This record gives sequence, structure tokens and C-alpha cells, in this order.
Amino acid sequence: MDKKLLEILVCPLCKGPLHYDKDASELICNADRLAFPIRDDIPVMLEEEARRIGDETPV
Amino acid sequence: MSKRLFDSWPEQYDRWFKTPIGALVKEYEQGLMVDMLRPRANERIADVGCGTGIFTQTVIAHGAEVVGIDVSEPMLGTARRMLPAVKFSPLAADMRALPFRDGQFDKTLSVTALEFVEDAASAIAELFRVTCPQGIVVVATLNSRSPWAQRRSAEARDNEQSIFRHAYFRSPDQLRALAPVAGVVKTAIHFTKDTDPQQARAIETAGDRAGLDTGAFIIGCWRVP
Repeated sequence: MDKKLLEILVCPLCKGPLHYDKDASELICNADRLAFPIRDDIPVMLEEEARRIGDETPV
Repeated sequence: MSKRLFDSWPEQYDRWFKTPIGALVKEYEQGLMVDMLRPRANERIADVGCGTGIFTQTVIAHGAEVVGIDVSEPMLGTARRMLPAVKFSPLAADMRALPFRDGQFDKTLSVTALEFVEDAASAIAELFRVTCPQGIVVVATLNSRSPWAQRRSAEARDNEQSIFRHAYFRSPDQLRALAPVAGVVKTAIHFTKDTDPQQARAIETAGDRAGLDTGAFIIGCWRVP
């Protein structure tokens, strides 16, 4: 994941901060409970492609 | 707008720009884009709806660093193979909901992406939001007043596979009205797909001199307040 790109990224919906989960290759928005995948080194910041995080899952 | 719509499109799209008339279209469109965007070395530029990177390549050739945004991952994959990795970062996003902090780019470009978005106001607002104050926003889209648009609409009615079934063509005045500030809006490509390539340059020059607003390609340029 490109560091310079990571610095300017926010959640596309709430524009809040993202948490980068390197092991899962995901960018996580805790406010919206969404995990955006990074596939083949391309961050996929589309709501319909994001994984919904259940309330029980700590992130 | 569906991202799947674009996943089978790259080859067809790139092939068109290699035909004699397609190559002229590309030359005029790219020339106008460079005149308006004026990309410079080390500027940070967002190319929203970059597709396979046909316009991105020109921006990078001027030394700028580009974040290429598109809904289609296959298109971004093609762009990445074509462009130098140190100057190009691909990212999948919807132009109505960009995943960037405010004012992160020196300039923002969007070429023939807006016509695939119904809510153009949200898209334009996002382009302005991510561009820094005094930065430049350049948007190009297909002109509803052009014979090309009428032809594409007719084709779309007959062909369920046509990408233009999902397109919203707009006029120069509609594009002007979408921006929050006054800017420069003009049109180009005054010849048609069936024009003899030998005559196309003369037709283009005459259309440009006459200031026609019926060219196939509308391009607008604004300075961010």
C-alpha cells in the first residue's frame, strides 16, 4: 500500500479516518462499520464492494 | 452506474482511438486538455474516471504525479500496466463519493466520466472539494448538442450492449451551471465519425474559429475558490 496515498485517504461516505489493517489488506471505517478491500494493490473504495463489520467484531 | 458495465470496455475503447478519425479525436481532445490543465512537474493530480489511462499518460508525460480513479478494476489494471509506477497510483472509487481529504490535489481532471453519472452535481462538488484552493478543475464530457450524441443515443436504442444506454449527455450550458464558480467552457470535435480524415482538420479549424458550441467534446476549466 502506497504510503503517500494512504495519508490522504478517508472513508468515501463519512470522510472520516480509516484504519489500515495490513494483514487483512483492508481499510476500515469504524464509524460506518465498513472494511474496504485492497485487491492486487488497488484500494477498492466502493461501498458495494466493502465488507460490513458486525457490531461484535472488534476493529 | 454499474462498475461491471466498464469491465469489458477497455479493448473496444482503446481500439477506437487507433482508427484514423479516432486518432484525430484523441489529438484534439488531448491538446485541449493540456491547454486547460497545464500539468507541471511534481504536481499532484487526480484523474477521476481515468479508465485505461489514455489521458493520464499525457498528464504524466508532463511530469505530474497522478492518482487514477475509476469504478472498474480491470480498467485500472490496464492503466497500471501502461504507466510508470512511480508516477501513477490506481484506486477504485465512485466520483460522487471520493475517498480523499479536502484540498489534497493541485489539480483535478475528469475526462468523459461525468456522462455515466446521473447525479452530476455531487460529482462536480467532489472534484472541487478534493482540489486545493486556487487549484484547477478540468472536466470534459460528451455534448448533447452534437450530432455524435444523437448518433450514440440512436445506437444505444438499438443495441442492448451499448455503453451509451447508460449515458447522460449534457450541453455546455448545463456543464457551466454545475460548477460553483464561473470558468471557461468550450467544445471541440466539429467533424463526425464519417468525415474523410483528410478534411477533418479544416472542419475542426473552421468550427473552432466560429466558436461553435456543437462539438462532440465539451471541456470546462475552473479555478477553485
